[in-house]
Amino acid sequence: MTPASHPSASALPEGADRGAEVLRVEDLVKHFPVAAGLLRRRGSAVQAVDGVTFSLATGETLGLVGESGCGKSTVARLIVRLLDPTAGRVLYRGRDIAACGRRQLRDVRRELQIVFQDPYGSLNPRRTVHEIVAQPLRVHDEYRGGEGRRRVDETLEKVGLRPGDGDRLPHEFSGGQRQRIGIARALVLGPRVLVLDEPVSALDVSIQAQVLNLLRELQSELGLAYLLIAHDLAVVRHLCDRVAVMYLGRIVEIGASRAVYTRPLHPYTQALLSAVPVPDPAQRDRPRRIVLGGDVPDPANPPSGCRFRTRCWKAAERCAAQDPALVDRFGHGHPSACFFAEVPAAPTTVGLPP
Amino acid sequence: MTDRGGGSAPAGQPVLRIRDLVVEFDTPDGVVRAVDGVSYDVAAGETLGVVGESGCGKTVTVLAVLGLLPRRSARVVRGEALLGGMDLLRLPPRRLRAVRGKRVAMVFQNPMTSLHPALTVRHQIAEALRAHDRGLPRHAARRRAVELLDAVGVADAARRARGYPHQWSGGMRQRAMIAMAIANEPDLLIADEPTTALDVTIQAQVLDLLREVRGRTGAATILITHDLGVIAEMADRVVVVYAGRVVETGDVHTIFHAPRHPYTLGLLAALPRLDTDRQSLAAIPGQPPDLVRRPSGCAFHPRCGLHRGRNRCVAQSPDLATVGPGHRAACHYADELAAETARAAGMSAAEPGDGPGAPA
Amino acid sequence: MAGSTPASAIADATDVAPVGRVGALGRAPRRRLLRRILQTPAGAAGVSLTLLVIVVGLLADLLAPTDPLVPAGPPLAPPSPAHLMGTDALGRDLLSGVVYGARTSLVVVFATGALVLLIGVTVGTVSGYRGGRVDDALMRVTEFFQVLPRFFLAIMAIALFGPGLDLLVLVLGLTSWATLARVVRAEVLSLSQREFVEAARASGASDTRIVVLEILPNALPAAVVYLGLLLAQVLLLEASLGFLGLGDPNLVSWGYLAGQAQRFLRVAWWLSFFPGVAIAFAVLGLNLLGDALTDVLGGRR
Repeated sequence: MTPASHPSASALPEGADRGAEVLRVEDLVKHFPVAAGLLRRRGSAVQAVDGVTFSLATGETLGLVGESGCGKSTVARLIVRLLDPTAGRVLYRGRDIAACGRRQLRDVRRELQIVFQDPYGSLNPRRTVHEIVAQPLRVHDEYRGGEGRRRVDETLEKVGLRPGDGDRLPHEFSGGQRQRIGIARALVLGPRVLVLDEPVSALDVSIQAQVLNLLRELQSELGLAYLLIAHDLAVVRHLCDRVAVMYLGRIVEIGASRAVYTRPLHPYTQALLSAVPVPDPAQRDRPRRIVLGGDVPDPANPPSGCRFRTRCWKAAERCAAQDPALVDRFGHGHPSACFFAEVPAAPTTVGLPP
Repeated sequence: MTDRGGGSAPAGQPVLRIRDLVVEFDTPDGVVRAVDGVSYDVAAGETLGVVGESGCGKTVTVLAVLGLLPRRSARVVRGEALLGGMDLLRLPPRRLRAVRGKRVAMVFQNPMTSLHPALTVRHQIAEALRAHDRGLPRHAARRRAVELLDAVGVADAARRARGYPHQWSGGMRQRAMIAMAIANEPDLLIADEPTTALDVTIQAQVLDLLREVRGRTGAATILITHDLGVIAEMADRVVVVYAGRVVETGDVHTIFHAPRHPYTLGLLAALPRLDTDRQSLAAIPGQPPDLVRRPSGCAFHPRCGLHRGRNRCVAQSPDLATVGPGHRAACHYADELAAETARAAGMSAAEPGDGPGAPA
Repeated sequence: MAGSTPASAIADATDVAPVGRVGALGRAPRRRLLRRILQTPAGAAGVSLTLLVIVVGLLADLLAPTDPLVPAGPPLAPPSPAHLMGTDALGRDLLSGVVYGARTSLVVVFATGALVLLIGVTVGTVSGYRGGRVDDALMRVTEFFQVLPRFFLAIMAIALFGPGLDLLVLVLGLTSWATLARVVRAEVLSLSQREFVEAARASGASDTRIVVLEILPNALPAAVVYLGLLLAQVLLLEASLGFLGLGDPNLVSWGYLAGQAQRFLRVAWWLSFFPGVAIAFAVLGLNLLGDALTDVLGGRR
């Protein structure tokens, strides 16, 4: 299958097939200055994102996972340029979004859209569903009378809502339906790439499954590329071809979903996977549970060298002195950023046939 | 262990017994029956997992038992909650206050809002101790507070305890909440979504701590969560709540491997899993019920695959009936679910043998 | 459900009829809003008192029996069928005075309200949306206006430039917008961080579009609530100035009537009673309305 192949190939011309690179992020950095308070020295900055590089191919889903404060949502906002990067580039089909002018940015935004986490906060409570979904069309001067109305209705149907729902206000819908409205708004301009920022984390299990299935159907129907930002590792596994694991502003491991989940190389990924509760009481006493001590360090003052070393059981002197690079250490197309990365003897996650 | 006379029950005896609890809320849209005849027990040394989706009434039930519902809009219509022979629902507020924090303790989802921002952590735990033991001198209470923090795994407790909640991380605050909860050696610990606001690696720490606390104190625990993974890791018995009613209850292994209510089965099938590759999920169709316009008969029937247009589901609300040893389900057609379970497992699992319906 | 394909599961999902509307407003929020205000006794009283003043003010020409500035009967006549509220020392009909006074109050309150809304919303929105130095500068200016002694300034202005309704409105308007600007700024500040505003930004919407369509409609309820309470104060100020004889001499106002009545407090109770009642009811009405709006709009979030 193609999706697992690592699309590091050079960008292909317009209208390229599945597998061609559509989005590329290079050495992305975002530092937020810390307001100088009475007790804080001036000049420190929260290093929310610190040198992130990855690429996304047409029709592919890349998952960006990590715990709160790892910088994954900041990456999402940098890509759609709700934030300006401190350094680095975001290339949409070869064009640097961070350096785009107003006009060019509008063109890019037509093809690069975002779905937000909070189904309550992401819809204007005072506008009807039709107005909300029509809004991007109006901004891009594509809402023209009957034509615009038809496009909105079509999009609503595509996400499983009825055109008649357009006349209603967001609060009349449940969380899952509101998330469908948010997806419709992102789809209405006919984008090629969707950034999904925790799209199901506010939803109940039964509704979450509906929305995940919808996202999969839309992807195969429209050939969309997804960048899925999520903290729920099971959700990521279900949707993604490839996964990048983030810790304190950096990617520590990236590779094909199956490879990362069954043979995680980085100790953080191993700990993360083993910490997820398994919904099967028969496995509650499973071995190889790694419980990490302590908390994530302050991103305004991250540890020297490897940022994970303060919680890592493999940490040695070298880890404090040197920064491990994200490189393919075993030639499997599965880079990791750890001096002591090793392929686990047996699959780490449970229940999978070896 | 502790000996406090009549209060603490021997292992296996119910510590709390909730019977036919009904709670209503007044809302601008009408009266909402958030809890509609909930009954369950929890025994000493046992962890009872209460699972259900948002708004199903799982939290309201325990808030009602502890007398913590907003007085203006909520009322207990009927039912009883027996804690060692006394009905908490009929206790005067004064005496209920004495029970809360002493014999029954709670750990909430959001430790930041449960802690006072302007008081040191040590002070708050010490005051929790002194509230139920007036004779305890202040300095002794403080010392005990540090001991408790140490016991729940707060490193360098003596120094950190003098800090304020905002200086603590989310995981640490939840440890502080647990320390405060076990301060008075309660018979019953109620944990409401204790790890929902935490990251997975921190969640693992807190779950370990809760397990350890249970082993050490022998308290009964009610663990309320929407996370089936947490239930599977922690609970001995499970209560599944839907639209204010208990729809299924039983041993944790039975619930996960041989559920007899279509909602339980649906929840398990809808769960994305860590151990299987990308594939479609068997979603439960439809939306959670609007409790102002609760569906007639079985509240789950509009979303149920077992309903198949049969009138009985629409007309008659099913009672919780015994379907196996210690296993009860509220479905008219629970018998049909055995076959259904096998079918769903065959469909949802790519690899054989790990579907939720696999035989126990 | 079990056994069905995912595609049909999604179709099913939307076929299931009425969806959760728990605790939310219904289909036509504006109509519901008025109904919810009217449901509480205080809200109903507020709405009817305010409406009464508005209607009387608008229809003053039809409702007033005579010209309020021209004698129409015997002086100091007590209330009678001919003069329902009696007459003053010059024989002018008091009912006509009270009716035309409503119009004066109406003009002052609405004109001041419009001015306050214009300045307050503009300053608050720019300040909250732009942030940074613009915000700092505008807030310093706002603080300056917030501490100005309103009543004293009004008296000064009238002393300098002579009495007149336009001047009064200008002074009251210029000294009253500061708090409103702060209310709007706080709303705009929190709204501009909401995800629906980010969504608009991500779709490429201009700042003007975001402010006008996304932010302001959500910020205005808070402004309206505050405005209701502010206008009650303005009404009272206007009456106080009239009472001191600093109102427009060519227009009848409630304050002026009450001021004129001072000398006849012992002989003609009706002269101070009816204008007093009118002022009290109008202020009460605006306050009740403001409170009811706070309850209804405040409960939404």
